[in-house]
Amino acid sequence: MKKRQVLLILIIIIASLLRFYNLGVNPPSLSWDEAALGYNAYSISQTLRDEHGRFLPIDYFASFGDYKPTVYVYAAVLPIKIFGLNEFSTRFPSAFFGLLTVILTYFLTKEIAKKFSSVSLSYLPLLSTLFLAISPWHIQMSRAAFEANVASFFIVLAVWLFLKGRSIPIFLIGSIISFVLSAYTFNSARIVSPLLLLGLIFFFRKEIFKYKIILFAGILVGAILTAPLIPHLVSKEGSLRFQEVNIFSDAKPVTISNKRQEVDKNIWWSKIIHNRRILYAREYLGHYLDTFDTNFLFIDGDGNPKFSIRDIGELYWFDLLFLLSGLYFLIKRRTKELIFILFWWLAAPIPAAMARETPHALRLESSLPTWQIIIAFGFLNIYERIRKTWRKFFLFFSFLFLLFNVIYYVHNYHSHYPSEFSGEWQYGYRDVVNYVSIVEKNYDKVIMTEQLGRPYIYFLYYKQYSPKKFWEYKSFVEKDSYGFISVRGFDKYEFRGTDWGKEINKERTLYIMTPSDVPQGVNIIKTFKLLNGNTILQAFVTNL
Amino acid sequence: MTRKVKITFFLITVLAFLLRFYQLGFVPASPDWDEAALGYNAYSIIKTGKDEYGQFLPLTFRSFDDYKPPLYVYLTIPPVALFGLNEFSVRLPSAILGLLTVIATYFLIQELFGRKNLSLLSMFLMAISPWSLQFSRVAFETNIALGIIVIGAAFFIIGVKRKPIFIIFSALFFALSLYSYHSARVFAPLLLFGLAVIFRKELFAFKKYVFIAVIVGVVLSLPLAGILTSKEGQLRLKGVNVFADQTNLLRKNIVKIEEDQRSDFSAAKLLHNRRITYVLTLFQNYISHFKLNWLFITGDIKRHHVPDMGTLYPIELPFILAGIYFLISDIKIDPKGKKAIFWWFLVAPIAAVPTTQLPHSVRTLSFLPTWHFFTALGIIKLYEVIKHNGSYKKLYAPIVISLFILNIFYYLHQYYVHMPYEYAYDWQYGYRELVSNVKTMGLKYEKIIISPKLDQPYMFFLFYLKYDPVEYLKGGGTRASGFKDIEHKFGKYEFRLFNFEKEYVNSKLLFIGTPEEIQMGQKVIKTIYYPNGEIFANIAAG
Repeated sequence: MKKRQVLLILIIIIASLLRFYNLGVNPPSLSWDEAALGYNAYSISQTLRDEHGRFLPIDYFASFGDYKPTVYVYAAVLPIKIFGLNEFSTRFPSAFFGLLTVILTYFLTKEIAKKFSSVSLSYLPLLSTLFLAISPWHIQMSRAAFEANVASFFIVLAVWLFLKGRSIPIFLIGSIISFVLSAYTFNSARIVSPLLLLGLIFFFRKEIFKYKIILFAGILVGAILTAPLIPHLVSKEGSLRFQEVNIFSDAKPVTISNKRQEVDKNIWWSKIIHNRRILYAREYLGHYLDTFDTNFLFIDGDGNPKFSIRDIGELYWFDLLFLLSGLYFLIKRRTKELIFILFWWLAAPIPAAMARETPHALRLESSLPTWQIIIAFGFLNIYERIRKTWRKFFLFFSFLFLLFNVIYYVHNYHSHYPSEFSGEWQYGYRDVVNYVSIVEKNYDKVIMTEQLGRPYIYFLYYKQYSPKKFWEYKSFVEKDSYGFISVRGFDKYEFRGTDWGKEINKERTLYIMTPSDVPQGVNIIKTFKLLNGNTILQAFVTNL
Repeated sequence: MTRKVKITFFLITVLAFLLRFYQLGFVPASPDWDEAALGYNAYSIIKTGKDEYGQFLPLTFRSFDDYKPPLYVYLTIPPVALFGLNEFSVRLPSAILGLLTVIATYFLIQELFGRKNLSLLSMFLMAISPWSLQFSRVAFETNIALGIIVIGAAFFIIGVKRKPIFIIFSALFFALSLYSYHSARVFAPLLLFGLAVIFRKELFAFKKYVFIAVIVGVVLSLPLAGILTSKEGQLRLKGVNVFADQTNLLRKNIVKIEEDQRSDFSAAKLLHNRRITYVLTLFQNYISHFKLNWLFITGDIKRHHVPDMGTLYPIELPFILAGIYFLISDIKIDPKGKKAIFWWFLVAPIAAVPTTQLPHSVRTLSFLPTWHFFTALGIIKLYEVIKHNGSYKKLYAPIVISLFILNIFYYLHQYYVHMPYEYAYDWQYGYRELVSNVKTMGLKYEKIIISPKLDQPYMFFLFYLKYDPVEYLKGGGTRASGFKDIEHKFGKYEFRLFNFEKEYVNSKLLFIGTPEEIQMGQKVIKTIYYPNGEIFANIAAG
């Protein structure tokens, strides 16, 4: 085998290890969304219907009222059939597609590197692939059931197919189908994918316009495949979720706008410069620029510990210099492919910047692997410009420093992340359900707090509760005016808080509450702890 | 200079002057406490030769225990002597240095790159720079530091390129900058070191001048050694030092080391070593000054920017990026100039790196004029690129100019209309009105009690009463100040916490406090409001 093939296989092995090692154990617990994706897939595999009894949905899974896109659930059906319903199988699609994205990056960057004749730049595919394989950003997303990670795969696939489609036109149709699939996988992709497709068509117009018929057919296929999604997107539920997270529904700019016009005594031009649209535009620009926040990229990453381990940025410290030089050389050498990478890099944050929480590693994942490609490009261009005698030193010290970066990350991820943030991952539910399963025969009722959010899904998930039986408790499933769905209980489980004084029939009832809600003078029979030793939940019975 | 250049230069100077001097004493609406303190200490020096603590011609002004460098106070002496103790006089040195910074920018860029368009455009952008204007119109030490350093750097370049005598002037200015502002003590030597390395060959050619310059510089800097090694001199650094709170800084490390020990993985101790955390903290602080959001959208605290804007115009962003790109890629640009600008740009944040509350636009004012130079270069170079592309050529200038006009207009409007209104609280608005009221009202009362919750009220009273420094020092002057609410008195003014509901029965006392401290409506004689109608202070008596 050639040296490069060996290296590629080595990178793939590294990528697999970083993605699959201890997959079911770290992150330390399933988050609500993961549990919901897993149980819905389980429900589909058992009954062909989702947890709420809807037959093979293709537009959305209602789940908690967050109307999840559908692809992840279907992708999880097979792993769950094979490995059973557990953390590993639930996360398997994400890790698997994450690995595929790493491999695809190799083929994608090959299309970019073709234009360069130098030996060093011919390593661009390998280096980009390596950087994605070890990327803290991509590993974090690949190790939990995040739809964004699967969407990211379809986006990379679509771009690669499109670039290939320049010589093998039939791939163009594949590209469009892959873009459509990404839109069925993750919300942000519904904006990023059309943008990227338009970008591709624009930048490579000369090469593909000769395939007019195929292109037309592709767009037609895309439109037909998108059609089933449209009713949901324009529905009330579809827009509710969007408004909740978006900055344009914030009323503050309107107040400020009015106040400033008042201070200006409503002079005509004040209406123009203090127009709320300008205030919103400023707000939007700020959220967009948050993508390049130095803390987010290089210091502690996304503020939500589910999306980052908070010890390291989304990129490595190592990457800073090469990111900057990469951008420089990208512009300097501006082939069409490179300019498209730049376009992709800049377009990916467009939907994410509409949200109130920025920068958001999950919504920005569609910008991967452009960061890694840019960094690799910067690295190789600098390498090329170093005097031959110094190149070895450069490689040696770069390797050493990068290795230190990776060790720092991997060590923190595996040794400290679980205990530091188990609470953020809803740790404790599994222990509760396992415990309840053992002791529930002694009780008529189990009452569990909703303080930690959505307990029902964990009872369904860990008990592998029959979906058909669950549907019998439809009357306990409530939908509020915001479209959120909550489950008050099923079987002998009730999910609510207690007012201990007013509680009736305390005998033969098991209560599980957070420590602050445990009343005085009860009999605590079991304590559930987070991995850092803090008590999260307590099971108790009446003292009588 | 050709005639056209001369006229443009003159017009830009006039513009810079107008933007810095128009309404100088009135916008920002009120001096903040540091401005008041600089003014009163200058006043005190004029009348007594001593500062508010009774120190004779100090080289460090203790002030609010922030131990201010001395230059600003001494520069304020002439205006205070000429125009009296008021906001205008206090701000005048800063405004003048601001104007000189704009002029020096032209010469700096001209000497470095020898392109008139570039120099004039950089100068123009400095003239309208929100960052420069923000600190040129208030008595902030950082602004005189910037002016002195830019002049010093311009002299340096003139010196090494044409007239070696300027190397000596340059040394003079660099030495002076050390007395102007804390951060300058780090930035100025770093900048000078870099320039000296870049132009080492030229310097070797002028050995004689360099020798004199070094002697001048060293002699002038000597007194500083005493200040820096003194306990007082170091207090300020301790106050803002990012490593002061070790417990918090290393909290995570300790947990992790213990965790690793429990799992027999003690080798990992190396990864959680405190030194790594230190380096990371410095790294984090350094790169925080390149947050685009901070620069273009939000700014930091309200006293450092106008509402809804950062310290640079948003329209500058694309040109800054282009400027940086072209500065690297254009082989026709003098490599020494390139190095000088990049060195300046990269060392500018270093003085701020070991401090807290970052990014910080006061401590990093020394970035200027590099950002604006990048913008200027970007505008010019992009035009050159577009020039070859006929169809867009005609659109370029009108679009760029109108976007800049919009940005400038919006900025000035925010500065003159909405900043005084929205940020009055942050500028400690209200004292002018308060003191003038108390002056007349207070005649009837034996004592006037003022709550320190109004933020260093004693200094504002000294300032606006123009309280005789001779009297003040006779009464002991300032004994202790600092960031604590310490009791304080002079004449019939007492600065202390009070319980109005218990004390107001004594009808010989006049009370001044926050609306939380003095609530009883019928006892309030006078209320001082912020422009937006909220209450700054209540004046009440029994």
